[in-house]
Amino acid sequence: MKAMSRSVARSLALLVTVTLLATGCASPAASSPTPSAAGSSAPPAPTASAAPILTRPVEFVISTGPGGGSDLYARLWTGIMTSQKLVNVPVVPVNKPGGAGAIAFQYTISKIGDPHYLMVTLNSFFTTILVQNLPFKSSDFTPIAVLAKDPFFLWVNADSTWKTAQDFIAAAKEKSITVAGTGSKQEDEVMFRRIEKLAGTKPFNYIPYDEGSTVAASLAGHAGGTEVTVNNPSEGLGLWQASPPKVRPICAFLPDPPAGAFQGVPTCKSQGLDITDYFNLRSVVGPPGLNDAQIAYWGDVFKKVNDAKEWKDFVTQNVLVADFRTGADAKKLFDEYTKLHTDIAIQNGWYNP
Amino acid sequence: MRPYQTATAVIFVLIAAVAMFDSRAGALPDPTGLVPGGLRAGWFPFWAATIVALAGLVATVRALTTAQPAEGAFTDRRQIVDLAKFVVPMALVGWLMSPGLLGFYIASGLYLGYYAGVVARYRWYYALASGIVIPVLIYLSFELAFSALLPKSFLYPTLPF
Amino acid sequence: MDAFGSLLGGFGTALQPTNLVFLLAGVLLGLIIGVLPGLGGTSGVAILLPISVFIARDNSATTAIIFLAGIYWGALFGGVITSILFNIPGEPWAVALLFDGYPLARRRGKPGVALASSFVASWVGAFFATILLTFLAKTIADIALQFGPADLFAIFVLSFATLIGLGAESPIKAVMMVAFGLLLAAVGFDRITGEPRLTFGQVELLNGIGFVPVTIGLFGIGEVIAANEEAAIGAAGAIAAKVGLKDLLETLAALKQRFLLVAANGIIGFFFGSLPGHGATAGSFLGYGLARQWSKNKEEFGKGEISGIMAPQAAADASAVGAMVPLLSLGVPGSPTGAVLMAGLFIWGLVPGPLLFIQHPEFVWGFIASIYVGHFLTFLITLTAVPLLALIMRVPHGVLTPLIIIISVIGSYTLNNSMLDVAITIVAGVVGYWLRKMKYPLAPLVVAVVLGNATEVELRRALIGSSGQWTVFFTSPASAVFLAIAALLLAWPFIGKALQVRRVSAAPPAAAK
Repeated sequence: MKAMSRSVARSLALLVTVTLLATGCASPAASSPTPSAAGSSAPPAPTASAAPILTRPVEFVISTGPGGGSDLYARLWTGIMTSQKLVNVPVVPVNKPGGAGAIAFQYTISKIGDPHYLMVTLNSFFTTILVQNLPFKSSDFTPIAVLAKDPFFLWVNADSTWKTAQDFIAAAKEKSITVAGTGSKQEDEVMFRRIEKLAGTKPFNYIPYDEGSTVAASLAGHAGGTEVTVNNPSEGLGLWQASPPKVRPICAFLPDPPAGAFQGVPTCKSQGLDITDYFNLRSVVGPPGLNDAQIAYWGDVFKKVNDAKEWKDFVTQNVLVADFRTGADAKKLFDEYTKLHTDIAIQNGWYNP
Repeated sequence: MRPYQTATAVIFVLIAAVAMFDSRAGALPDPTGLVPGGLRAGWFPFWAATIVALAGLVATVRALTTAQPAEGAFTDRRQIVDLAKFVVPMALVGWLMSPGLLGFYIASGLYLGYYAGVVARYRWYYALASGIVIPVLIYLSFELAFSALLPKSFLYPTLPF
Repeated sequence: MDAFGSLLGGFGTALQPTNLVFLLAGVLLGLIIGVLPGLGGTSGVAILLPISVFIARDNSATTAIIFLAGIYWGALFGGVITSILFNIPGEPWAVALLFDGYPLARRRGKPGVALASSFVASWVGAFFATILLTFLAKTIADIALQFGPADLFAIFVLSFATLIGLGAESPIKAVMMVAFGLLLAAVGFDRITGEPRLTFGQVELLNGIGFVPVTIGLFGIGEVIAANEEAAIGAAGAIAAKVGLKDLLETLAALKQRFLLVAANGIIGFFFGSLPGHGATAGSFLGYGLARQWSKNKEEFGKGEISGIMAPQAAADASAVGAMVPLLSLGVPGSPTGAVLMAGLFIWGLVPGPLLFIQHPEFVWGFIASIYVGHFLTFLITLTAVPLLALIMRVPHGVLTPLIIIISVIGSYTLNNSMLDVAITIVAGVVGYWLRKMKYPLAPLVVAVVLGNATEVELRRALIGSSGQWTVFFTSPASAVFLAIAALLLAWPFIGKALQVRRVSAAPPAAAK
């Protein structure tokens, strides 16, 4: 028994050391996100009502794994909220990947009326709910804020003979072109199906990849025969800047020509491919049934996030379209996107109402 | 061993049969050219299940026809009871951990205490220490230091775990 | 600019006191994160990403990346500890370490040697990989880009081929386990068509049956159930783990014999890591498989052979370094952790890609130099900690047994924050206990669950790209070569047997089992 108690003591001492190390190392750097620190030092919530709206840590639900799709946005916004002490409780990013977002959506929809849950969106928020026939609608969620719209560009390999959107469309009318994008029946495929219909091309041979960066890489290496992609600007920028360049943007699906690193790239509209209304929405929704005070509280927090220098710089650098909306304005945009995606899903037989 | 080996192989055949039935629609490559690449969603699981089923049938026949060790999977009834005594509390704890029930921290504390006190028969203060100290350390490192949330109990809105 | 001179400048940056302190903090945090179940390099880096915003603001982006990457290196070393001591893989690529690491630590009572072997191999593998990164990043990145779905498919087939028959006494049971693993991997959301498969209408099942919960169950919990039974009949006594300098000397002697193998795996792993999207896991399995194929005593694999620890670990750590190649030279992340680091670059206001080398050389070269320094630090720390870690084996079973189960549960829950994964782990634990008893080999099952989904997806991507023409696997030279090697490996036992039969045809046949 004596030997045992000694080894118990020894092992417990070990565990204590490890944990103290963990908490000790983390806290100088991580002091603000921990609940203990937040409880003592954070200012009260900026609301008129007496009772605070948030009383425990907030889960910021992400529908992809760490590093994927919307993860970066949730973590950047969380970082800004923490550094500026915008929220009186910790905000914790929680990854719930799987089923092109279905798992995360189902989790968030079940937290009716609870302001301690937020979810960052990709356009799978509109497509997956339809395609997977989930037992709820995109409009059941509470729109909180739209922070930016991430545009699509039309990309080809640097050695491609196509110089304009018209070259590409002419070729696509002759034979099925192999294209690549993120996921199946999601935003990239939505784009290609729209181009197909608008320009009357042959059906594209669409290869789904898991991440936008892998899509861009497959274009750069001709891997798997990919000839065209509709990557977001930030996904293709590195490959375009390589010397010699590996990929080349042909045009931008924007109403006006882009600035910054993409200065000089024409709009697709100017080349006869008139799509200017489709973007990846970088936005936030909450569970159903949030009341006006809760919606206003979060709207106010994200307004401050939107005004932060870190976010402004990020928007400029990644050629995002700044379009901050909350409340009814946000809802209006969500309704438009729901309709757009429903139409496309029905046209392509992905969804039967 | 014979009945155990046979039953195990048969169970695999049954699981495979269910999987084959579920994915039967995609079993054959598409000849029309409408399906991208020619292979449907069900192709891969269907043929994986088919191999499981065929191999399972061979294993069943082998188990029935070849010489098998005389002794069973368990030496005596006591061994089965011991197994149940171990597996049932473990599964129970897994279930009780679900959010809204006891949550991770209470369930794991009870389990650690139960195991040290009842199964391993340590003195009660060791059992208590094990059941409290370890969950607290986990709480400190996961929830506080690294913001990794574990399932909370029905008490959550009032208590932090 | 000459890479060597730039690297020296990089060391100047990496060795500045602030950067060194943050590197050390990152490495220590990473080690702890790696040891904690469910928190691997990817989630560890992601958790501290918001904090890096402050570091980048108050110091510089270089300090921020050095800190975050330090977490990654630390977690790579830390993640193997639970694999070896508890049979619970902390990271996908640590799965290959279960096969020999745990047997060496437990069955042979040499936890010190098992741990030290993996740390030494990690460091050597990473060292070779970092040299390649320093001097050949651009060339390798260009080659890696050419790898299409057909080539990746061929690599996965090759991994399977080197591992077929691992731990199998009955070939028919091994075939069954491989196919069953492929079937489990297929459950859930089909990534090509977006259709649910074998989910029976359950939304939770759309995420599939992940290999992490399955492996934790089969190995971690299955082993605990079996040990409980052995303890009840008094078959297993506690192994008093003695750890001393002797273990280190034994490890170094073992490394000396296997230096070529470890270096080769470092180079293979580096290349695998540089392929966009995949890498470490396939690399570590292939490393294990090749070590086994080349070894004279194949039978020792799965029972605690040191090559079975060193080879996959060298490959895994090297591929983590390799994943930095596409990140730095093309702005394409080579691994999930690479993707989080790249998110960091965006957040700090840098554009990942080739212009980094021109516009922010101090960032790139400071970072590359910190890989050398970070790995060396991690190596020193872990090696000193080996005796302390091995002491965990002495925790009395009344605490250790439930603790392993709880660690397993956390490990499976934290990955996807899913209770379904906890249920899968517990069921897999019971199934693993039973299959072991029925003499079904678990290693082929695990390999198939881990690689199954990626293999299928690359197969179908290749076929979509070729409009359904299967010839695509032979028209791509890399794919054709890998598939030919795989076919040769699969056929070899039969060829070997045929040759042997001819040679000994005069002699009486060996006694049948």
